[in-house]
Amino acid sequence: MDLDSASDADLIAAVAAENRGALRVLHERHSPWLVARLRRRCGDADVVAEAVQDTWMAVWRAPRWEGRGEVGAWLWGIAIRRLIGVQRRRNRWVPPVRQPRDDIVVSAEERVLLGVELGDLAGALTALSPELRAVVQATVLDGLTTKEAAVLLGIPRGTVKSRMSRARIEMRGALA
Amino acid sequence: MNEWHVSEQLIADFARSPGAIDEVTAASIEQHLTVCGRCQSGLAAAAPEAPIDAIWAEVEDRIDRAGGGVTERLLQRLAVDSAPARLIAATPALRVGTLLAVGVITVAVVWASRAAQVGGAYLALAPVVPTLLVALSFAPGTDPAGECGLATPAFGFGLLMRRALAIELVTLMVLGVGSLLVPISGLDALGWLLPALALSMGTLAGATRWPAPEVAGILIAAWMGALTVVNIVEPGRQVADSAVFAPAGQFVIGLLAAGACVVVARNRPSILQEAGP
Amino acid sequence: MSATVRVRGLRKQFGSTVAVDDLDLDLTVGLTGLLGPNGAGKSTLMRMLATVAAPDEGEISVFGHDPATPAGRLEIRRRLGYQPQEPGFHQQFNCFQFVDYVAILKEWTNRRERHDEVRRVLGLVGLSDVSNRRISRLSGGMRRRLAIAQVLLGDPDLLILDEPTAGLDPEQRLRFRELLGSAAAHATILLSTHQTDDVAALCARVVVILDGRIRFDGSPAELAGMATGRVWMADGRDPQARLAWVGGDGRWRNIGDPPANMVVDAPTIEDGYLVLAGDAGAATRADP
Repeated sequence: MDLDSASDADLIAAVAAENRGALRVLHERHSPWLVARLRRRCGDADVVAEAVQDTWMAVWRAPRWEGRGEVGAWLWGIAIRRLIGVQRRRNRWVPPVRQPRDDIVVSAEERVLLGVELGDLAGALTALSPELRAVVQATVLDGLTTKEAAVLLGIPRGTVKSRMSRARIEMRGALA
Repeated sequence: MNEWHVSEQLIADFARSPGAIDEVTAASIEQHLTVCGRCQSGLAAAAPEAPIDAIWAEVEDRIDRAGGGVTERLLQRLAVDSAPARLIAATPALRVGTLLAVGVITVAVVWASRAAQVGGAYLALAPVVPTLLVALSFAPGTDPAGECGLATPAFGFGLLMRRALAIELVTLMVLGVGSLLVPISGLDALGWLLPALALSMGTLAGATRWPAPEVAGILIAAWMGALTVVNIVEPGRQVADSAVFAPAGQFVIGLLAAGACVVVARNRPSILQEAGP
Repeated sequence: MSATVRVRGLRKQFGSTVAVDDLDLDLTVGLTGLLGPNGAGKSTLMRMLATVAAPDEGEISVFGHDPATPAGRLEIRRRLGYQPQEPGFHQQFNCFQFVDYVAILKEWTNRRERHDEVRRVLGLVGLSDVSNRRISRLSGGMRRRLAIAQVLLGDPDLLILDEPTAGLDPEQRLRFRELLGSAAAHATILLSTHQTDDVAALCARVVVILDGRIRFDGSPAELAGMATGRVWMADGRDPQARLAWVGGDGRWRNIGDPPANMVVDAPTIEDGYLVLAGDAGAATRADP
């Protein structure tokens, strides 16, 4: 099998047969975006790197993708939980770096096209305050539980719950 | 998969400074990236390589550190990762199967002693177990690397000797536990210990000059012969009460064991030397 | 160039069978091919050079060290890579664990450096992808490559390879040639094989050993020259031929003393070897 041109699903099957090359190709394809995406949730590059390493170790030990949905979504599900695991282990929380740059301009057209990815949610998210948006992102988009979201965002569980219910009310208004 | 893709410029910005893009746009890019192979590779091309390479190096290292046999994992848990310890642990004599066999033999000998109500059987047979295992350590073809291992600097008599000592130590501990179950009271139940040391260290000492299996055979025969002779001289006595296990007999055996230890220590080659093909 | 390996009057006997008989040999940096039928003494010679077996008589000197002494043996082994014909793997190892274990035996005590080196040699023989596969689940060609991988640990100065190309497919053999070709620039390599084309492709020097004695020592071209005037093509097996086989084109290639007026063919290194080995080689000869 030519690993470089194999599908993600075939690569996972090869990993199950202890093919290290297949894991390497998966890493080369997915680690860059996993890192970029995790960096938006954690400001510590070491923690992010360790979370991605943990992700591949988890895939290596249990390459059990059930064939439903996208491999990328499955990997993200592992990666975000590993990030929470590393943060818990290190007992340290570094907020993500937010540095808006003037030189990054998202064209109106791109914004519209990108909006399709989130559907009606995009507009509703824009209207939310940053704190509420972070909670919605963690629970709705990243699919985390209240407990996991609390670790990821570095806030108490109760706060996650109260912000979520406030966000729900605001979004209901925006989506109506 | 969608028909359109995030522009190269935007995906590069997202890769290089993830915090710089407004959150709703970023969330949209993220959703797209999860499912789009083309944008994934676009991002991979734009992302800095060093951290990605470092992640793979660490993943490989972790894969390669894991695994190994039970003994090796135990050593790792004990934080022993030094190469010499692994060389000694690599002996087949220290594999789980062998250790189980030692346990089974010990239990069988204990059971025989109890069934016959003759604790002496344990005292007579226990010394044979470590002696046989020491001889086994020198059997050809026992190194896990096969012939590839023979032409290496670390392979040789010194390594085999250390492996023999390791298996001997483990066996003596198992036998020690066994002697608690033998129907002999007090320290007398440890009467096998000095004979075991004398026989196994004698084998090791002899192996510096002659083939280990022959040395072990001769010493075991001598031990059995001595027990028989004592039994003839003092008919009607239980083995456990014979002169061999009396203080005087134990003293003589202890001297022999000490002598064997001295020979072993004197001839102890460096772990890097070999006794000769 | 001075010899890195010197052998004088070497003799080894198993029971009444003489495996190696009064053998002299000097090896220098570069590739030397060792040809000979099974049982000719190739493996016995290689085991003695690799410090695994002791000669009954004669002297061996490797890098100026005597393998008969423990100190000499140690110095030789530190610069040696040996691939035995029958590696006798411990089947419970996976590829990585096996090479890692041999690396420990070769005094790589620092774990990180050792693991890097193990990954390097597994990559050289193309086994990186399967480095976690158990040896019991490897194909014959993969096992052969694994045995070659451990030879390359630490880039040794002397490589002794006992039939390294047996079981390799054509592509793997080419990769192997590439590997050896670069090592031969600085290392002394002795390689035994039944594949005369490996010798022709790789070796500047070829030694033919028959019944424990060296019967030829020279360049591959000189070995081919042994069959000059003794190879001819015909429409059938010539009664005067010692060996003959029919090729794919229906023509017979005859080797021996040709009858008069026959047009002799240009000999190959294989022809030269067959002339030397005589009928002993016929048993292992396969049609191209």
